[in-house]
Amino acid sequence: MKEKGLLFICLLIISKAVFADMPGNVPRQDVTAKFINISSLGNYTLHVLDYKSDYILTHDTLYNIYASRGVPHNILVYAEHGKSQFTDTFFLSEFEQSDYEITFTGVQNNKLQYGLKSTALQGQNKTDEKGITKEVKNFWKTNEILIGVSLVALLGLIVFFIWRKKKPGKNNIDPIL
Amino acid sequence: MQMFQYLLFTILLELPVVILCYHKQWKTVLLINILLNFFTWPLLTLLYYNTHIPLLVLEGGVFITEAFGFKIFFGGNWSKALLVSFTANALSLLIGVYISGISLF
Repeated sequence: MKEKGLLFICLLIISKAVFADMPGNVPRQDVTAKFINISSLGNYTLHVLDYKSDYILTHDTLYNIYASRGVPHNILVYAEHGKSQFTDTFFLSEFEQSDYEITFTGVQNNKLQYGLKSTALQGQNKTDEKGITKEVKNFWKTNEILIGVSLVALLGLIVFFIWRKKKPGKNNIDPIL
Repeated sequence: MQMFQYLLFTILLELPVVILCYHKQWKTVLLINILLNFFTWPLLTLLYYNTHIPLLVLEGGVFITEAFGFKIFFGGNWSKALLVSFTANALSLLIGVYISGISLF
């Protein structure tokens, strides 16, 4: 029984070490997809399928693909014409950690014609090894300073109060200074 | 660190009012009022930027806290402490709101 328990713990540790069954379980940043020249699709309507939501884009749009901590967040992009004609579909994912720029040029044989440019994120809000972003770090740094200053001042008031209590007849520092 | 300039402005505005009202013990007032502002201002800033509590409510808390401090450290009666604290805080609040253009509510 002890051996089984030990084996189980070992397996658990190994699984954790190799990130087994943890697809992309590292905090990531949101990415954007910029859809340009949608009007070139003519009679086709551009759709963005984001989980269960189906969005119709009628003009140039900057779409935010929010970051997931686990399974990568993907969006599917396709166009349709008259509820019966559908183009091919391509997908964009935040897992790549790149901003996308999709410039449409039209539809040919029910295939979307587009140019895709991806730009790697500059790490403006990059996470550290513990998954804490720079923004969050700064936020806590400021708050810690504020709390620290406040506590030091409170301590000063308490010290003064105690000091005054121990000096009978002196209810303030004016006679001393 | 830039935000601490507002603490300095607050002290510069409130100090003359408090010293004027408790002029007999002005040295104590100098020390205590600075310490009280160093205690209340960071908490006010922290709560203002991280919660949805209206500024007026937060200032109400500051006014009561400082009045409490005045009563403990400068003696006198409660009405005087409350009045001095109210005047000093109202002055700094109104000027602060006027300068920065933020909403009271």
